[in-house]
Amino acid sequence: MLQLQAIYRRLEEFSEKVVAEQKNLTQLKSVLEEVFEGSSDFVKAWRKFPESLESTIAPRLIESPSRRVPCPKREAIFTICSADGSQIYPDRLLNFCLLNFSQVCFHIGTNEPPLLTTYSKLYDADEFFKAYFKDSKPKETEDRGSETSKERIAIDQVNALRQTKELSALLHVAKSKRVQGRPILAVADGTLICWTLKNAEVLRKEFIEKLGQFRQEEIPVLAYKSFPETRSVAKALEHLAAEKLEQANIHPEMLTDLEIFQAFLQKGERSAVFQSRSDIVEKHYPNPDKVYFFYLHTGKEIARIEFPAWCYEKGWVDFMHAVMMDDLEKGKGYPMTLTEAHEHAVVKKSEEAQFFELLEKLCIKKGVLISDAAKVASKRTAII
Amino acid sequence: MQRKFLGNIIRGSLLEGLEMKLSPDVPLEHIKAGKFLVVSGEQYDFFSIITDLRLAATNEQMLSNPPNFSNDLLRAVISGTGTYTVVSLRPMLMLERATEQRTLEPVKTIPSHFARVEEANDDDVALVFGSETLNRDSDKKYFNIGTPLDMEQAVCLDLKTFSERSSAVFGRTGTGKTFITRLLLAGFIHTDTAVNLVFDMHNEYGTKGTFEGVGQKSVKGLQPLFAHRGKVKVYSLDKEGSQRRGARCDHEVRISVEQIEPEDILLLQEELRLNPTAAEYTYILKNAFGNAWLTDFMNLMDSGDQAAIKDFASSKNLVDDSMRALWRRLNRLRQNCSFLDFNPRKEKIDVIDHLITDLLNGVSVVVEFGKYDNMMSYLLVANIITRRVEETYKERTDNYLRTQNEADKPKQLVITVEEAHKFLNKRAAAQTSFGKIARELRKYYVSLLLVDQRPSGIDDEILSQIGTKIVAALSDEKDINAVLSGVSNASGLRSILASLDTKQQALIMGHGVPMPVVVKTRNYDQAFYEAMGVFEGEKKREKIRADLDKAF
Amino acid sequence: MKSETVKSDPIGEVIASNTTAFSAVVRSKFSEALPVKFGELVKAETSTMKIFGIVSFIEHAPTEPNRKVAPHGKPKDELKREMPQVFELLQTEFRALVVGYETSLGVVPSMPPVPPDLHDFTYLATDEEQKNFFAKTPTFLRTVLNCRDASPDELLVAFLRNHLAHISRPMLISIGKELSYLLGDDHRRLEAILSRVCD
Repeated sequence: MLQLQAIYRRLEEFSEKVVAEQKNLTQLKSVLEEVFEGSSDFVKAWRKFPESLESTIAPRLIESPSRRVPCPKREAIFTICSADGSQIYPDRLLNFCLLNFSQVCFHIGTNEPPLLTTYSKLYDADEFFKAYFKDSKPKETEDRGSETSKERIAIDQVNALRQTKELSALLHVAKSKRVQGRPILAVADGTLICWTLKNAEVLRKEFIEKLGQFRQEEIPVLAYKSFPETRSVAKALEHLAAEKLEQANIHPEMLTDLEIFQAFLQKGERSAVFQSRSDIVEKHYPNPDKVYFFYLHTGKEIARIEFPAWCYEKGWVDFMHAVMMDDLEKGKGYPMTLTEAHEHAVVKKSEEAQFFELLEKLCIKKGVLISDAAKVASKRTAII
Repeated sequence: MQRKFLGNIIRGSLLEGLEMKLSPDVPLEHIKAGKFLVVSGEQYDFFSIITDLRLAATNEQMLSNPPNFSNDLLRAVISGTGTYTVVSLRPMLMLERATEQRTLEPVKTIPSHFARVEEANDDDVALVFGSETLNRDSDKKYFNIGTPLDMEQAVCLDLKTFSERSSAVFGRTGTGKTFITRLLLAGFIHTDTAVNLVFDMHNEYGTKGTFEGVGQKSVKGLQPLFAHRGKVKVYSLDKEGSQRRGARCDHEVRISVEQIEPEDILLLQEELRLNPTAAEYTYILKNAFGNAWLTDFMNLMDSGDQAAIKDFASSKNLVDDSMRALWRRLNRLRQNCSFLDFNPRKEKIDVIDHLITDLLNGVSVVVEFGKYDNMMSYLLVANIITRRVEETYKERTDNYLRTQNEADKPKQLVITVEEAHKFLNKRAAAQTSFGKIARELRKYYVSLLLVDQRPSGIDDEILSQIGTKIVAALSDEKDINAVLSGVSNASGLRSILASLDTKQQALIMGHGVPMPVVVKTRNYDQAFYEAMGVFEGEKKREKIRADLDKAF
Repeated sequence: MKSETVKSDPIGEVIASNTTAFSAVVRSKFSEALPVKFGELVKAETSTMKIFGIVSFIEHAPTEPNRKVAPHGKPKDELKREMPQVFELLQTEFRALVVGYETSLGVVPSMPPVPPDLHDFTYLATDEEQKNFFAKTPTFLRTVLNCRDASPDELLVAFLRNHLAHISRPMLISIGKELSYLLGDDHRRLEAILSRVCD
């Protein structure tokens, strides 16, 4: 039982701290308003700053950082689609993995039926290693037990594969469901920057190629990141406005983008558009597909929305902003379309158990008993 | 002929009768006490009548908390399940179904559980109560008396059996006793079962009867129906009165006072308000004066010769004052009953002899009282005539028993008497001829047909001698008890009696019918006259033509 | 434009069955009018027989048991336009109490020898089938009174009301009488049922 009396005093101390932080945030807002001002020295400095500072990944300014755009009016009719994936990882016994993809597509504002589908695919682990990772054999680096690290690497590779295939699935659904003359938006989960594909050249190329196809098809695409942990704008502040922040009793090295825009934006507002200076983008992405992003105050959190540069150039930002706010409202804080894609992609525990049971049965038919496999046993329904 | 299903037997005993659960399809109010039913047992059909109806419910709760009966469906559902009707039956006769010979037997067993109960059909009525068509082929004398409740088939009385023993028509005033009686009399004459002597106090039988319904005012009496066949004669005490009513008076009744016996005076004890002493004196007077005792006594007293009266009184040990009292009473008799002939002469023809001769010749006699419709005249005349008739029949029967000659066998005589309780109350029954006839004259071919509204006034012993009772509605508890005394299953019949209509309905039980039955009595109308062979107007001409055709 | 369900169209597909009851998922989309009513006589057609059931339970629920239905505060037509997946993720399932079956030999008012197969189609009973069904002794009463899916009385009232056109008056009365016996003279309950069947 919770002993409220015992912790009451400490709780009071904590609450004071919370209030103080809140106060800091208000102060942060006024500091930000000052430094983001278009004509300020800070902005001038920023414009030169990233190029002069090779080692940071502070973004480039595409718009004045002081921009706060309220949610524009949404198109009455448009198409929104999404794709997501989930997986069953290989293990030492089962040398293959399963990927499960969903594709969803809604024609908002019409009575046209929605698309809600999934499809599954099995990959032979050896074959897909050969196909995608032949240049970068997994290395057993850390010695925390060979099995663990091997599995860890396998997991990373499966995730890389999944990320690429998700984008393909998204492209596919967007292409197949788009209606002539009706705006469309493809929404991916997470990021358009393929961090995980750094070492998987084949997949990386495929990913970037697919991203390019969105441009060729003129299908605006974005990635939605909930609770971003990035410190890109924060880094710029850390380098260029540390003094001002410290005067306001704010420690710039502790700030995150999330905190900054939570203070700076109001519900429904987006931030200025920035350009990512992530290594992989700088190195591998063609110019029209360089990753731009803005932050969005969804009402419940700050989300980071990434999209290719061409979408900005073609003026899709307001459309994206409005559609995402609408989707967020419908999803009660998380984009409805993404939720739906996720729900359809996820392999449920019970389904996973079924999968292994089926496998077990097939093996037994052929005279091989795999029921001692820890995985199979763990998926079994507990008997009371 | 298919019988209509009514329900199933659910309970019963030989002693107390059967109980049937009424089928819910049968409207309860169509089922009336006295209805004639057939219970189909395994081997026997049980002919029964309804004696009681009772409402029952499987759940007392429902009764204290009645359901909403405005809902038709609910009512239809509950009737027969939650609530139902139990009908008490009294099996009266049983008939073995398998046998060829259709003989009715008294009930010796009961049907099993859930035996079917059905409405009797015409065949059943005919089987139990016979039919007039049977008269041709046997010596039976069936006579249609009416129909069972809600049925068309006639219930017949076997008049032969009926007339062999005394019978009675009971019912309170206005219930149609007279109509029933007239029907029976017509039946006796029409079927030639018995010769009748009717003491017609209120002039209802001879010429015409008053009709109590709507329409016609009067109905035909026995004379217009049967006189043309020489079957009926009317004797009247009041010739002028009879003629005024349009009757043909065959004889005027004049009764010589010599016919009057002391018993006759005793019978009038109540009417004349005689004290016991005065009654006793009549015997003394009879001894003293002989046959002409009444004339002589009256002459003596009329003369006003005080000395002679005193002498006579002292010689016979009589009290002077008592004699005067008797004289005063008898004076009233003389004034009221002017048909009495106080100056009898030998050469005068005795009208009673005529009457007896007629009866012996098979001619029924209706004695009309005309204006003498007082009890005193009625009692006196009926008693005097009956005494003479009784004596004659005794004689004749004795003669027949001696000779064993079929020709000497006296024809069955039925004496119809109204206000029977006056003759047959406890006191009078011991003294009057009527009492004697009721008790013992069966073997002398004389029986009584009593018509009365107060059966409780009749001596129990006489009541128990009555063979067949036809009972119209009675209201007095004492009367109902009297009627049912000595009847088995009185309680069942009691409820039937209590439920009779006041018009044209009667319960017939006893000797003349195989089982008690409630009838709607036959209409006494044109159709009846024609059944009795009397045709009028166009019909009459047709009949004559038909008869002529037959003759050639 | 919604088209009326034609009588011979399947109304659902059996997804669970046993000898006493079967469940079926309604074919039509959630937002259309339901082709089946509570207390209606339906049948599952197998290859050899028709199995009759009384719809005793209808449930609208998400297709995914782990997902929760939340209010969206939008009119239904707007909801359909703006959040089209919502209706895709809901389905209607009904359960029917088995009350008899029909083979080539006619209607038998008893439990069928085998339950309907899974994925058999279900249909509304035709007029002819209803007539034949109600011409048999009302053994369904006992089954209905033992129903656990719904208040037996409510189910019975709904059932009789739905099919009143095919129950003759004498039949209705004999059903009522049978019911009266089965309720053990609880005439209040009987009244509550019958008065709602015919009012």
